[in-house]
Amino acid sequence: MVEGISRVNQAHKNNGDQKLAEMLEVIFKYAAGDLTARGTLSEDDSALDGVMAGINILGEELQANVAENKRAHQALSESEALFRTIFDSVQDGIVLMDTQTRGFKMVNDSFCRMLGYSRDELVELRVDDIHPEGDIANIDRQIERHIKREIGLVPNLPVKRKDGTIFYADINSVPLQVKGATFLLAVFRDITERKRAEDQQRQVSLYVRSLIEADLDPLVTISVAGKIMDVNEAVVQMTGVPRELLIDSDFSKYFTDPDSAHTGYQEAFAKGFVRDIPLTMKHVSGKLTEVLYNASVYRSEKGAVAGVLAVARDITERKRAEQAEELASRDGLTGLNNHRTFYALLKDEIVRTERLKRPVSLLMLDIDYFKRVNDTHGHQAGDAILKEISDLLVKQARAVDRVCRYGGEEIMVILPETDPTVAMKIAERLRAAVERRPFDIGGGKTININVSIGVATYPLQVNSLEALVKAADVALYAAKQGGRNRVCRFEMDNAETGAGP
Amino acid sequence: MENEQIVTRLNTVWLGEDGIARIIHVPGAEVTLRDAQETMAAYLKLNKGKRRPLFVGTKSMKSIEREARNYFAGEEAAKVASAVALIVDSPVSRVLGNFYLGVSHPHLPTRLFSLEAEALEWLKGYLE
Repeated sequence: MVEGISRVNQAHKNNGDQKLAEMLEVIFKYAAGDLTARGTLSEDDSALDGVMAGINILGEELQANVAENKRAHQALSESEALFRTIFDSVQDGIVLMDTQTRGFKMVNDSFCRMLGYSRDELVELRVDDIHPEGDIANIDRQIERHIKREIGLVPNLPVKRKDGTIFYADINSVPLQVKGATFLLAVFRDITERKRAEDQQRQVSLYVRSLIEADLDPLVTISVAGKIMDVNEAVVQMTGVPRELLIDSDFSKYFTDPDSAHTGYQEAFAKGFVRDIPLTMKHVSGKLTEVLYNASVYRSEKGAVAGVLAVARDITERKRAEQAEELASRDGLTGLNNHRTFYALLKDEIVRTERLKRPVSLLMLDIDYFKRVNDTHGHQAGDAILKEISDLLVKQARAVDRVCRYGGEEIMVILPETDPTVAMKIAERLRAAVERRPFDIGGGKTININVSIGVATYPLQVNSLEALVKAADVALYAAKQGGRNRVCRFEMDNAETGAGP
Repeated sequence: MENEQIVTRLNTVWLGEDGIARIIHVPGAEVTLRDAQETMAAYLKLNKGKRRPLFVGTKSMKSIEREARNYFAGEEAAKVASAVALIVDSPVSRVLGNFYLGVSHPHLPTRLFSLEAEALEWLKGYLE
């Protein structure tokens, strides 16, 4: 019996040793890194089985933790790699600066490229090393303001490359607190290209401005809403209004006729341009300037009409010259072309005749007994008759004919492209018109007068301008000799009476 | 009236007249996640959506894998059971129960008992 009990105990002991050995083996495997090891449990469900079960669970938990850590580490590595890729692929330079040491803790590839340093070189440098010496004090002030979050962006700061050359950057930064230390995360944007473009734009603007100002005529740009957007100095001079008051004001109010100005402006919008619209500009002093208004629309990049570019050309001098020319070419009493102009017109007509091979006829007209009119009714009456007869001849002549005062009471009528037969008919019509007309000599009195007319034709009868005038004179003389109040055609041997009273 | 019961691969699930659900494992059970899901499905079928206290007999259970432990300790179990009493009457089941409490941190009130009567008495406090 005792022996039997002893055998059972011995069996338990052997079984317990075996379980302990297995436990140790599992634990050693864990220690060696094999967390998949598991111990077996016996059917007797002893305390050692309970310990073994606990060891197995520990193994499971350790295995799960290791797997979880591995996953977390993998995720962190991937995240870091992604961050690094993004960090380095950004076009702007990014730098993490320690605010205590002013040294660079982290820089991206773009920052290295911008400055020409390697990453290893840059992390050995300080802020002072990448800015011109003269700007360090300012940079330090800006950094302090960044740390206090007073500013976020510092534009246009000079940055020094490794080779000593300078470029300009806009620097955006934000302070970061990491484990009690303050860092500045700064983004450097190289603005070299932008500055170059801005400089070019400025040059273009200056060029355009100089072009605008170089134009002595008033030049103005007008918005779609009819407001002045820009003017040159000539506009200021012509209106007497300062530039700052002209800008954004209604352009039409500087003209005596704003409605016409508006009409021209709208026509420019409709057609794309307007040419030579006569307007009058007002100066604040009341002085008026006659101008010709020319305008063209200008368009935006997308082709939409952005406004109107208008030039008001001062035509004061031109009009003055035209008036002077008019005065010089006209007879003061009758308003007819004067003696000088007569010869100029006749000369032109002779040239035209040569070119077109069409004759030109000339009528020389003289008032009969004009001296007697002057003597009897006075010179004022004579002048009145001269004026009235001139008006009558202009009305009776054809539109192409030119009526000129030749001198005294002699009047010439140039008949372009007119042969002798037609010329005689016209001359007779003029003579008859004068004969029929009662002339007012003032004081309620009228008198009748007559005219004699000589007719000559180039080149049928004569071969020069002077000869044509002389021939008409000869014909006139013949008309006088023939009894006056008649028309005579020039004949080589003698004057021939064409018509009689 | 004999209560309805469902027998799974490793346990029998039934609802007592006291309103307490019971899960009794076969001796030597080695519970996997799939077993845990099968047990939960049986329990849900019996309790018809009502949260009940749960009596779990783990006599002679040999092991319960980590995923199965986490499944029982998770939020899903807490939605359908109001409390769990684990009967641990062997060294192995006691170790498993203690690890379950200490490592898996179940989302619902859970206690280990040696005596069934004490467990049922405690569970009555969780009848809803």
